[in-house]
Amino acid sequence: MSEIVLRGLRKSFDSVEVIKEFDLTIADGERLVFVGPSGCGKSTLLRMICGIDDISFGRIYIDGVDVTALPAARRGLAMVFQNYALYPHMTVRQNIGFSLRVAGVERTVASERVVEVAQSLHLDHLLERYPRELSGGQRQRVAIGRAIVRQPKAFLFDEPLSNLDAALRAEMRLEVARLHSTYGATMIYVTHDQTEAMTLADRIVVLNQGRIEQIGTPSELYEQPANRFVAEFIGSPRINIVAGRMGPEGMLLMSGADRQLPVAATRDVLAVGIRPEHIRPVETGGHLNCTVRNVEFFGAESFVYADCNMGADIVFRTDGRAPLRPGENCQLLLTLEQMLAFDDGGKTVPLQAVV
Amino acid sequence: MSVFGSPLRRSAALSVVMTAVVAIVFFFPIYFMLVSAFKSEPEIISQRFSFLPLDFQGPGQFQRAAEIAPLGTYLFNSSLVAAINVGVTLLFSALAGYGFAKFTFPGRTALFLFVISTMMIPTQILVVPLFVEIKLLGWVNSYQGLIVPGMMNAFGVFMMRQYVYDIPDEIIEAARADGAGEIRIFFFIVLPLLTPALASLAIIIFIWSWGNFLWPLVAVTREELAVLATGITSYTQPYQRQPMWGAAMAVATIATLPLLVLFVFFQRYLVKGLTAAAVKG
Ligand SMILES: Nc1ncnc2c1ncn2[C@@H]1O[C@H](COP(=O)(O)OP(=O)(O)OP(=O)(O)O)[C@@H](O)[C@H]1O
Ligand SMILES: [Mg+2]
Repeated sequence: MSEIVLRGLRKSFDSVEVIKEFDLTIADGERLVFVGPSGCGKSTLLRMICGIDDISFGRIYIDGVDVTALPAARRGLAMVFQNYALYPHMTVRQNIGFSLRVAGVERTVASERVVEVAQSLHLDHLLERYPRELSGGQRQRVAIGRAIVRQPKAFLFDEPLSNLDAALRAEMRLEVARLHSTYGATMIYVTHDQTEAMTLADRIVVLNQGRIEQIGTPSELYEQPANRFVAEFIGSPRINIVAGRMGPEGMLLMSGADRQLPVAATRDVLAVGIRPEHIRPVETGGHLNCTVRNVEFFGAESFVYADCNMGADIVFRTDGRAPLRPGENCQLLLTLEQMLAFDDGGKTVPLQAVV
Repeated sequence: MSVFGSPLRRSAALSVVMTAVVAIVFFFPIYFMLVSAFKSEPEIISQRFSFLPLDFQGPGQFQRAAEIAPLGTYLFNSSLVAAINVGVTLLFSALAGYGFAKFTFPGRTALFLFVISTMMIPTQILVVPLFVEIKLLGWVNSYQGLIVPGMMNAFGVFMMRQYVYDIPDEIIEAARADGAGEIRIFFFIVLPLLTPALASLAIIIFIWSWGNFLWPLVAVTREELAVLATGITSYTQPYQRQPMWGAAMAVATIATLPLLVLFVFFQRYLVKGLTAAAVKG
């Protein structure tokens, strides 16, 4: 099958360097997800791997073979585009079968494979339709069908579900996961969507301005983010970041808290981060005093936004039945073991409990 | 409210009237040609215009036209020249337009501006240098001389480039990722998506080629190479006889028919765009 290796990849458009010195090894059969803010170079990276965009510097190896100079047609990868890019003048059948036709696969064999793929994507009743006669989700499935029909070495997905509504997206997410377990091919997946990233990935690569911020499993990124950027990027609602520093007694001082927190950092810190699920309201003995500003009710849980006199509001999760109302005062208890601290460069600084 | 109705309705009525006037102005010469082809010679040149032939000739003028000059030859030559000009221009324009729209190469803008700038040179200016050229090639009085200068068309390149721009890059990239080579992409993806534009261009080139008078007049003198546009002068400028307007009008009618048929046949391509559903907005 196929292992993809990127070595010292760079890409510039005119004088602007969009991808900077990129090294990554994608294991055979792995599900790798690229996430990052808009414009950070996710699509560019995918297009370089696919062979659509030229590479300014660096090499790409697929199964140990240097494919840097090979055109897309000869790399054997399949790409699914964000906007589907179906051939508008071809029927679903022709769209899915195009790559087989190009490859000179025998007609009867090809048409059997097309039907097979169409069935697995529940498209078999739409084979004679044109793309303009399909719904968004159906077009998306055709795009995926076009990719899987040729049994590629790897699938490259560029935000394939971003144009779909929430329900359809959840359904297609399962579909993609199922596809992967059926075909087992390497998969590189670009997304904006946290849920997609967390649920589909073996490993997530967090990108920022053409650089890798961190690579890790979803839980690694969530629990041990390498820096503030990753901590803020992974997790929804977003982690609370508050100014903080080491106090004279070697314990953490946090803006808004009325006393020192019994944790210590090995280096000087500038900010501390705490996730919304590591904060809970208590009657007494909390670390923070606050006034509830707003409650977002989601049924099973609620997100509560509270003013703790520290500039930005603190957000935390509670049980959906929690009796908090805007305007109420309450105390918040922080799960100190789960707190994160960042130095002036944004790097994570380990925290230790002080006894 | 005035007696003339609301301003809105008045302006609608006005536009209908103006459209009708313009339509009549444009239609009248065609009508004149058509009825004249069925009138007798004295009736055509008489001072009084009658809307229907007083002395209906039947196919008489057409028969006369065919007797006097090799009408079939003219028709064949016109068709041959137009067909080759249309076919080759379409292919070259689409190829060049695709290249200019979707590929980056050094000097692209300069080259394109150069191509465009040739549109600004009137054909009349080109006639003499072109004639010198075909003379040097030994192509005077030949099909090559008649056809080749019309095979490339800057307007076609310009038009195709605009339409190719509208084809989303992703479709072409998807085809590349699907393993298609550049030639296949051009013929199987780009060309089919250009069909409506190609149809419009085909009509434009056909009309231009079919009606081209100056170049055939200069490039060929032998009657067996004459096209309809030049051949028609056999009826109006004969050396030993009276001009025969009836025959000329009959030939003009024959010459106009293909254009009308073409319009009717290709009309839907002029309005329909195919790329609309390619990419979800
Ligand atoms: N053809 C191009 N010419 C110049 N700059 C480009 C080109 N394509 C992309 N860029 C720039 O490269 C950067 C990365 O673009 P890219 O499309 O890879 O971002 P992305 O991470 O996919 O963003 P999004 O999440 O919005 O899709 C952007 O700053 C973009 O402006
Ligand atoms: Mg993108």
